[in-house]
Amino acid sequence: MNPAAPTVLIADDHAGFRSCMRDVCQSIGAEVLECETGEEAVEHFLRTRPNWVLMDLEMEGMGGIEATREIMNSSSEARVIVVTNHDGEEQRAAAYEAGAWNYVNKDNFLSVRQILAETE
Amino acid sequence: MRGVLVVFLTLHLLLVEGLGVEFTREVVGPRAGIPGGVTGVVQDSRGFYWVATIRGLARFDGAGWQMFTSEAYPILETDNIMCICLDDADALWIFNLLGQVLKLDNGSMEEVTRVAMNNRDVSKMELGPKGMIWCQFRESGEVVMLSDGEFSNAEVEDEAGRIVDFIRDRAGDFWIQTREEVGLWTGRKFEFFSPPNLEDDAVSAIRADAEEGLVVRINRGREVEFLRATASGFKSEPPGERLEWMQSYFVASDGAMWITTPEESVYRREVGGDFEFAGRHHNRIVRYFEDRYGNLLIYTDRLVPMRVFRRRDPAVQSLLDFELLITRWSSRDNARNLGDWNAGNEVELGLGDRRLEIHFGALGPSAPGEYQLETRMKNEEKDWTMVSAGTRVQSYDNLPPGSYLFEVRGKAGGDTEFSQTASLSFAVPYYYWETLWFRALVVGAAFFLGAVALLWRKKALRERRVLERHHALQLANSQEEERKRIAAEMHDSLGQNLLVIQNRSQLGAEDAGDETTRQQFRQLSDVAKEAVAELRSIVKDLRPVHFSEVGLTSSLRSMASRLLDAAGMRFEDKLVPLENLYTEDKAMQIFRIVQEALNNAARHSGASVVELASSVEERKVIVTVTDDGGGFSTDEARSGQGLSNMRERATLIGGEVAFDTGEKGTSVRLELPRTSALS
Repeated sequence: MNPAAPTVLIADDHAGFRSCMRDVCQSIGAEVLECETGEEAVEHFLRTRPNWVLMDLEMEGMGGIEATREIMNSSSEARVIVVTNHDGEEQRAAAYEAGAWNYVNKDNFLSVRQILAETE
Repeated sequence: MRGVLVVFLTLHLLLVEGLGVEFTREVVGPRAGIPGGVTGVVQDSRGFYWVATIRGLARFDGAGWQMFTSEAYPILETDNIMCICLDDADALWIFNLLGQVLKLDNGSMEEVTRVAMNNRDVSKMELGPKGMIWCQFRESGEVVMLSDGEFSNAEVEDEAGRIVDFIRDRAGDFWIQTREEVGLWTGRKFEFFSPPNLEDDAVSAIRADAEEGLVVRINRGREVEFLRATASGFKSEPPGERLEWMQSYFVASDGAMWITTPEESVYRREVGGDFEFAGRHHNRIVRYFEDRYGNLLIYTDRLVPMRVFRRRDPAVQSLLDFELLITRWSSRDNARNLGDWNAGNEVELGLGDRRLEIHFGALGPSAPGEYQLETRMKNEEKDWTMVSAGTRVQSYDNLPPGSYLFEVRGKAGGDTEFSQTASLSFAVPYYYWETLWFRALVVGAAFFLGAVALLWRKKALRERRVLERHHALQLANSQEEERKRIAAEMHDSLGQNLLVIQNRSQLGAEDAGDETTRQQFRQLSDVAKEAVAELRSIVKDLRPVHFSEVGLTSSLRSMASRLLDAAGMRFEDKLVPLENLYTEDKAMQIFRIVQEALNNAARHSGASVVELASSVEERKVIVTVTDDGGGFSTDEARSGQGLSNMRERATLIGGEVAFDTGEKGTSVRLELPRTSALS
């Protein structure tokens, strides 16, 4: 594993979009881990401590907001970027309130590369 | 001398008859329905005439003679009746030729005693002191008493053989007569009175007086004197010019005296007046009877009809000589004869007894066809019904329940006024189902049941409407659920795929080696982006995002903002919080109504400003959507589905929608009851 390469945990229940996100992250050299639910995301995070978590909001079981709160509770260093198909103010506020680093709409997903690059 | 007497009598007759005949003589015999051979006449306290004949007993009932013979009363061994009398209780005592003494009481006949007659014939009987039956033999004139089935003189042993006559006066006192004196029964013994200055065997006859005592005839040589005897002594009766020719005499109830003369004439004299000619009588007169109306009945011991001398007083308006009476009534279940009911009381028939027959008439033993009768049943008939001659009965079938007064009135015919009436009131009882209270109860019960049925029906209708509304709401909810499911499906599946396409197209454009390919990827990305936007709009229409979480007010606000922004109209937000007023189902219906109204405004009004306002009052909640557009016509509104959808949704949640449209814009007003929290 390249120690300089950032690790990104992708949590999304849509396989197609997960695949798209993986390709984008890998295109900037990140190492990618994937999961489909909030619980898996928390579990993977606690085990692998990735640099970034790309968190979808609506998943089966534990939702993205709650999973973000769990992760942030376990490590204040964690960086969770909420990547979602919802653009409502309420969701955005809830995500930031849970401790999210950033909030990215899926139709503008490519902007995540910039966020990852700027904050490295 | 005899010629002078005849001339005198003839002149007198002409004079009397010329002045106006006060008496009419009628023959009452077989033609009238009563046999000849009359042996006795009495009139009971009710007014019925009882006539004993050698062919049975007869009673006049107002219309005709009713016979009481052995045919109807087998106990009567012969119809040949020797004499009759009445006791204090109005029972009729009968003595027949075979020695039977019978009592007829209220229609039933019983034998009291029986005596061996041994070819003797009794001409007179009376109930004397101590209940003894006094009799007089016809041939010998001997007076005897009937005791234990034997004739004897035990009770008046001292006077036995001296007694020539006995009589019960109108006061009920019992008198006996000897040739020398008269005796009055005082309760224990006879007290005798001897008329003053009496010669031997001077007392010749006694008759009952009008009120009390009796009139005693005294023979004083060729002269005849009458004394009125009472318990206090004798009083002389003024002599009359005709007394010297008198053959027999009779004292009437009003004190008047009747006499017959050898020339077969009958005279009558009022108290203090002169004798007046009453009529002729050709047969030997055996007995007289004067009824309570002053009419004289004469009968003989031969087979000749009875004569009735009817007194007619021109001074009295009534030309009826006898009292008009109701003599009998009978119904299906009952029959009563005169005297068996109290005339003052109402007769009540039995339940269901609706048939009535009423007999009536004047109880005079003379031609009943002479007078005219009319009847009327008050409460049933308005007019009087004339009764045909000879008919003395009126029948009614199936009388309705109620109170009635039967009336009969009579007059002597011609133009005379009706002079006598008799009446009988009676009641036909109601069956309980015919009574007013029962009918009122039935009507009341019908009303009550009707009211209950109406209330029940209203309640059922209300419950049905509630149920229908509930079902409709359930249907609407399931539609909402379906929309929600479709929206989620589109958002999470189709939307995500479009986003994949969009993002990968962008990646493709970045990685493309030539400009043409890059352009194509960009176009693909734009199309995908547009599709995502459209899809999001559709999804929001289908189901407001996070409706449950954000609540009605925010959902309304964001929906209005989105719709009006898209239409280029300004949104005037005057919403007050509507949370916690209604359940989510109802809140969703409110949302849909407002959504419909805002859609209409956005699409059709051409308005520049649209106001969405709400207010929460004590009893109601009002939400209005007002635009400043051009309005719409009622016809357009009717044809549109939107308005009717709004109304239906409002009804589902117990509210109403009102529309107000005109040139200055349109206002849609939704009014809902504010019941309880989350109702």
